Amino acid sequence: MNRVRGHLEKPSRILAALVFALTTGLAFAQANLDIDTPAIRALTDAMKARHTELTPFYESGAVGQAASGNLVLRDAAQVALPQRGRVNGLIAAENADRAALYREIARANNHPEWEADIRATFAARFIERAPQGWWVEGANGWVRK
Amino acid sequence: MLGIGRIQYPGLVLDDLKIRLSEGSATVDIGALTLGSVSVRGLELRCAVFEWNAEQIRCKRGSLRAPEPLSDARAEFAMSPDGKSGQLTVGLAGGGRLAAELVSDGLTIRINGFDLKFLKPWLPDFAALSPKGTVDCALKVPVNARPIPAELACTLTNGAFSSGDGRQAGEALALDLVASAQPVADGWNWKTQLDWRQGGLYVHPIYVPAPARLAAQGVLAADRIRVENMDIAMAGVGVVRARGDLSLASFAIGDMELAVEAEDLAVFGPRFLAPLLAPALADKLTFEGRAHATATLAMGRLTTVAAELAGVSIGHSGFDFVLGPANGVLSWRDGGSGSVQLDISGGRWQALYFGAFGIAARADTESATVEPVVIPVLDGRLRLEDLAWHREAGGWYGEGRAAIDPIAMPRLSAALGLPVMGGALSAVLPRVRVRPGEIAADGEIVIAIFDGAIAITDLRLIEPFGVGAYARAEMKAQGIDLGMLTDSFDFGSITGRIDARIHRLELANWRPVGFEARVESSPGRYRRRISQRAVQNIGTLGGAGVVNAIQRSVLKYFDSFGYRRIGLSCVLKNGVCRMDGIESGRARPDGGFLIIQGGGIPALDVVGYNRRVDWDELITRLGRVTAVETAPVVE
Repeated sequence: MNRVRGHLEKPSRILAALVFALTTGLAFAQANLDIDTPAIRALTDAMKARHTELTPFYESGAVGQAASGNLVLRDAAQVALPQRGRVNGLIAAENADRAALYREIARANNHPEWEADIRATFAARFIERAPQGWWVEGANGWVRK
Repeated sequence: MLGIGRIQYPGLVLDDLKIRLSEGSATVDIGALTLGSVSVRGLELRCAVFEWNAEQIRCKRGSLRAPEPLSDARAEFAMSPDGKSGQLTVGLAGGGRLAAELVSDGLTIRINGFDLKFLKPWLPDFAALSPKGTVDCALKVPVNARPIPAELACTLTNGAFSSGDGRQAGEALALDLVASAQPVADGWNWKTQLDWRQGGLYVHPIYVPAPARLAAQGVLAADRIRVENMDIAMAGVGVVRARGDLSLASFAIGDMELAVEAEDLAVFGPRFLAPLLAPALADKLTFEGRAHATATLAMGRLTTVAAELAGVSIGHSGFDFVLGPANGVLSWRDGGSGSVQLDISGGRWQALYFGAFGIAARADTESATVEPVVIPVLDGRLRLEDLAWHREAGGWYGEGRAAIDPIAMPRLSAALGLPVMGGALSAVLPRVRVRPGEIAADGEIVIAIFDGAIAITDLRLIEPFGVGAYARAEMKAQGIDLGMLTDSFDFGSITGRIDARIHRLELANWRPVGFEARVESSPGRYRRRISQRAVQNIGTLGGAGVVNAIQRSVLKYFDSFGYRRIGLSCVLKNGVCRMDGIESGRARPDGGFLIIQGGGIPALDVVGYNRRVDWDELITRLGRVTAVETAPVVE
């Protein structure tokens, strides 16, 4: 009896998990990641303005794109000593804006629960779109593109 | 071969000393040389010329075989046979020089031009920080150490160090160190003064530039330094006092008590507080006042913090917000509770000033509760009650109640830079929820104004502290007296009453960016007149064609007109207001939509023809017609 139940339960559980994964995945696949709201515009404008200031630090390898969707101070030694605090502030401000952006895109899609998926998608996007020479965090740690 | 065994001076020990002689030359083996806490093993000195007679033992043209920085160094010495006087010179790697002289009252060692990178083999933990720089030192060790202490004076120039990841580093360092030490039973009693003259230090995430002065005293025993009293003074910043212990081998802090006297938070705040507490806002936060803080560490871990604030103000330049001056105390205990007790003498957000209030809160790692807060705002009060916070995976969540006791609108509108309006603003918000990136309020804010009322409900502030901050709300206005409204805005005069509903109002930077609004005449019997100037201004707002040509000729003969109904809607989206009139969705034969339906004598219809109006343009025109006292121009 037990054996039969076990035999029946296992595929049904797998099926349930599959259906769940597919439906949530499908639902999230419909998310509009390029949705435009005044808040998203304000955030992306602020990020664009900051990008110019951060570019030399991406290029030197001081700052890298982490798998978490955040920026990380990878190698502070690449930054002139008096500027290290400033770079740390830029990274913190960028990460705060990114967190707000992920939340806002989820909100604008009327699915606040998609925030984590949106973050993961953006993390992959930031890493994929990073130009050659920048440092990104892959499955096996930090690599220079 | 001659075995001497051990020669010992205070602070310097030579162990397992052997001399091998061969025809005018000699080899001196030193099993171990111990200077203070540093030990070097396996030294071998080959003297090309070796003299030994009744007056002296002398080594000339010697070369040393030893670990760096002594390897292949040139060395010469001469000493009296009784070992009570002598000289030693050693040429160090990198061009440095060590000269030692032993006379009857003591030993003097001078080191000149020693490159710190050669310390690597001796201090492996220190070597991980890649030390660089040149050191000049003079050490005097009396033969009879009591009561005369050993004295050390050192100067570091072009000093630098860095951990592998650059999170601990120093550059262009120049400092002078003076120290004295006296041997006691279990080590050395020491005293030191350090004058840091140039360079900068970075200890993530804090950067500190020179100068600073340090004075300290304590006991050195085996591999630990006990600091009994240390004062670090930085001009304009304050003083740090500390006592504690430090492992010499790993430079790790053990137990420690710290007291910080921040004499000027305007300097101390941006340098130490902002990078630690709010790095994202570091360039926008401003500080003023003084603070005294104490902290304790156990095994290098922060266990308690207490701070006393005196006249402290904190501001955010981006929001034009200032809170303070504040006096009070903050305390925190590792794994336990924290508390805040502050008396805040007031504050300002843009031109809106608020009065004195107190904050009392208690917190632990998972939750926090705040005592009721009553903030005077102009002649009213903002009350926050039953505020409780708890921590979840995504951050801190809070809930409480809020209320605004009536604030007179004439004062509030003046403070907000709006035309002076009568009435009062009050609010009852029985449930206010705070979650990461969002503040939401149930209940309503009521503005009793223009003899009617505006109710704001479903208020949500989204990302309130970021650049993408915006607010969402529902608004309803009832029985607004148009006469009072138009007088306030200097628009010309309209008598009558309106109701309005603004659905899905969205404000970014406190400016509307989206809504579905509808304004229409309130039901009921009341006088309905519109002045010539108001008609003219509506014309200016709506663009050409609002008042048709036939009516324009009527306009100049009368000061005011009767009307039956006003109705206007605007759906704002993407900077464009889509307009409609009294009869939604219905156009007149000429394509226009009726905004004001005339009635009585003389009567006048106001018709709009432009259904898509640029919002910014509309606001600019509204600003123009309400701000400038223009004489009506009648065509």
